[in-house]
Amino acid sequence: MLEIKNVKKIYYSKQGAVRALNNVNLSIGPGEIIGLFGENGAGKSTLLKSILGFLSYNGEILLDGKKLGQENIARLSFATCEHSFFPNLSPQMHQEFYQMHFENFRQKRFEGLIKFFDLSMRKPLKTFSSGQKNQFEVIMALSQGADYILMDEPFAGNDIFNREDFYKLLIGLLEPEETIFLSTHLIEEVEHFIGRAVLLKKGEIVGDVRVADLEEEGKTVMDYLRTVYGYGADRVKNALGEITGEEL
Amino acid sequence: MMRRRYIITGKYFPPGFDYEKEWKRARVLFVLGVGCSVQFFFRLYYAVQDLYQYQFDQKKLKWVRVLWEGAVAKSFPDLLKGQWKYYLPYFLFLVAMIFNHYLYYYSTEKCIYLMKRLPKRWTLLKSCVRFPFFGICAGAAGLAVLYLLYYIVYLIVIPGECLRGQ
Amino acid sequence: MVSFDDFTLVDGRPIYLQIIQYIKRGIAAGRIDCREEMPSRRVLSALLGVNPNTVQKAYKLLEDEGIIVSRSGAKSYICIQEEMVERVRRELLAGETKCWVEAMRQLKVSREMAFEMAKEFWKNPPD
Repeated sequence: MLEIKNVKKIYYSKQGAVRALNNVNLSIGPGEIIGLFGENGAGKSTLLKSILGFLSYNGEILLDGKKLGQENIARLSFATCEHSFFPNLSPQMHQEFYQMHFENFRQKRFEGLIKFFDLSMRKPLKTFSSGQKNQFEVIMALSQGADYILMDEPFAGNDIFNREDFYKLLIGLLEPEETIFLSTHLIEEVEHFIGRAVLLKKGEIVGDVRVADLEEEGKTVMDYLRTVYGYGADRVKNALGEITGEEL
Repeated sequence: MMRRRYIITGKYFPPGFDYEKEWKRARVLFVLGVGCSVQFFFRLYYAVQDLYQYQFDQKKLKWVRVLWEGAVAKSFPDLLKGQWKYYLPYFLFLVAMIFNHYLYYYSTEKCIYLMKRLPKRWTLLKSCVRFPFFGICAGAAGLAVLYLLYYIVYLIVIPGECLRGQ
Repeated sequence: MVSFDDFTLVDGRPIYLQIIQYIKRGIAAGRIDCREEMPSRRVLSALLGVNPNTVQKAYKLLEDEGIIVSRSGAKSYICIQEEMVERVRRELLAGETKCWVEAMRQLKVSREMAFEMAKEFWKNPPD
């Protein structure tokens, strides 16, 4: 269980203090597939990076009751739209690097995913297209052998058909104890794929709901997000009315 | 094969870093420094010259070189004054390399996110520091040998009486 | 093995209900055999691209209704009796008819007109 308790993060800028994260409380259980949603600047990346220990923060983040350190950091993996691989190394070399550093590296899964996306094993990553780079980034996060796979907008740039197939592949591959915590803008695509939706707004959690519960009420994740965000049906109508001055 | 492992492991420099280019540059700076250090020989020559005066020998009917009374040669460190400047580029380059290595992780792909997550937590630091550190030690060792040789030359060339209590 | 090849996900209805409907329709239409094997939960969720919990829910409800049976941890099978096939058919039929009647009522169509139209379409089914 990944527990995020009372996490705060403040950035100081010319405009003053910016609360990137404000009293975030979240528990992520094993085996969940969670979508993290929110507008740009809501704090999604900040949250993920804080969990991984890239940023300092106030509060506590515990993995099975222990702070994140040398012994358990390998249980988290990370895929980001900024990419975290070595551009001059080939997938083959990355495999060796990961095998050296992560004892639970999933060899078969790695090979299978490389084949599925038809990536070359020997060419340096910098020669890949941006879509292929995203694919590779996700492949490494999935093959590391981690229990908690954190992804920060990993699919930016991938064409839709590759994504659809990928979600399906992912569901088939995942072991029951593997958890995915995925931040994305592609809400409609991942609606069926996730089991839980967490909504972040201005650094605070404003929504945390299980998709099954929404289904009981006959709502989609999209509906839920709209209501929480306060985007009513007549938002556009009102705006047009104001801008054009016409009666609608 | 060995080289390939060095490229990947991240033990001596960041994985995928162009260490050959860096090492080449460092070597050039070192060689330039050593080249400039040859100035020592010029100074040594003049130091030796300063020890002698020319006197006309009535018997041999020619000018002979005679030591000044109580002449003391310039000390070895004196002859080396200021030479440390020649090696500054080399050592500073290597120190700058440490930072260059670290910045490498922040280029187009943010592999810093991978390095910071490694269970072997000193890998990141080692990959930045080891190669420059090795260069610094090798440079220091090389200079030690070089100046030892210079010292031997000094001892040979300077007449025994003129050596200060060194 | 029950095939889901012609199953398409539509928006607006919970997926687990759609899966259940698909199974029931298949049984009623005779496409799905009484003793056929169901794909495993994991495989089906991967096939459809939906969260495994959703498939789990569908399977559980089908089990509760007695339409499928799962041996612990192993495969699931359709295990439907003849009478049950009838029941399912009637259930589906009732549902569809209800929808149709509702639609006609909303359009303020009289019962006679509705039946007339039904007869027309029965004779010449639209493609």
